[in-house]
Amino acid sequence: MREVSIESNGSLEKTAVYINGEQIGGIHQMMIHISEDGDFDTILVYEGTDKQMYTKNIFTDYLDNIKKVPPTFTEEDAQYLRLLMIASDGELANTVVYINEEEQMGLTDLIVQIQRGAQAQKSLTSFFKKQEPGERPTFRAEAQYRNEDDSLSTELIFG
Amino acid sequence: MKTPHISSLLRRFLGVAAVVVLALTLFISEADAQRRGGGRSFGGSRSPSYSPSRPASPSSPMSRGGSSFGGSRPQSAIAGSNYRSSYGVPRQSTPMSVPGASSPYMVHSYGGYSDGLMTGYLMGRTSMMWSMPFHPAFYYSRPVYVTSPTGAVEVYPPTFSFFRLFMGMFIMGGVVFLVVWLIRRRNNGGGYNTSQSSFS
Repeated sequence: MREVSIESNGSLEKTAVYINGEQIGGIHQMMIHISEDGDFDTILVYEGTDKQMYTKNIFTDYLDNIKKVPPTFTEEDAQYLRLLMIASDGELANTVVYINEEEQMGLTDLIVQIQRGAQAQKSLTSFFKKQEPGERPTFRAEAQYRNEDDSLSTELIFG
Repeated sequence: MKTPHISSLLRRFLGVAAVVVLALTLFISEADAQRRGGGRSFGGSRSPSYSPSRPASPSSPMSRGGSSFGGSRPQSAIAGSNYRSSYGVPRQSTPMSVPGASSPYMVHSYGGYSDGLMTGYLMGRTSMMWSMPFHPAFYYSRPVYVTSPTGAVEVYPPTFSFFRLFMGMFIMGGVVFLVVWLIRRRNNGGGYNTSQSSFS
């Protein structure tokens, strides 16, 4: 069982990711899509301590050479942030989602897509080159719930 | 990560701004010098104590010694012949009364856009836009004034300046660079501060 937490205010610059309580750095992309239909896609793309890029399954793979960094947010900062925590072993049946330490019930779909932008341009020509969609910063975190009347509602997790 | 990211952007911005300011300063100072004291008659205002720098009447040959021989040829005569040989035969040469001048200038016309510019400069009908790289006049020099030994002033039209073309491209490139940088910076979320982010 691995615990992955995302603490954020909805902007990339105020987003910290913790794995089993330790903050990690060097993340390029994080994609989590879990649905009650059985989708369980959890991908983490990061730069390791050896400067190599790794693409791993967050809950089942061993995260080679992942950078662990000291916590950056103070308790005061945390007052303005929301905390999404997912505890799972990679199986939908053993997956529990918490938002601000409150267990979530009735989830039908959870999508978290966070991606940093491209690195600073190295040359003058690349400065004028149009950025590919994959190079743009992305921040999307939504949870879809089934209400008691069977209607569905989607909420921003960090909004 | 925050400080290096912002400082690199700041360095880039300051670098571009410095280049643009330097280019503009060079150009404006040159234009200003030409306008104020660089031998041109136009722009600014004439001081009350203004008097023509050349003598009212040509000095007589006798007062110079009475002979064409001996001594050295005046520099102005050399310059005049140089200009005439480089410009070629003018299409038309007409005397033109110029505001502030005691005698008409001999204006040599070669046709084309530079003739219009020359007339504008002679009559003092210039515009600030002429100093901007967005106007074709920016890419032309000032008219050339040649004073002959007899005191007559000849005017040759402005010529296309590749230096100014280069400067114009440089300045406009700087402007485009700034605009693209600002647009991309806005699209990228303002170059986010990564100091507290795991995505750094």
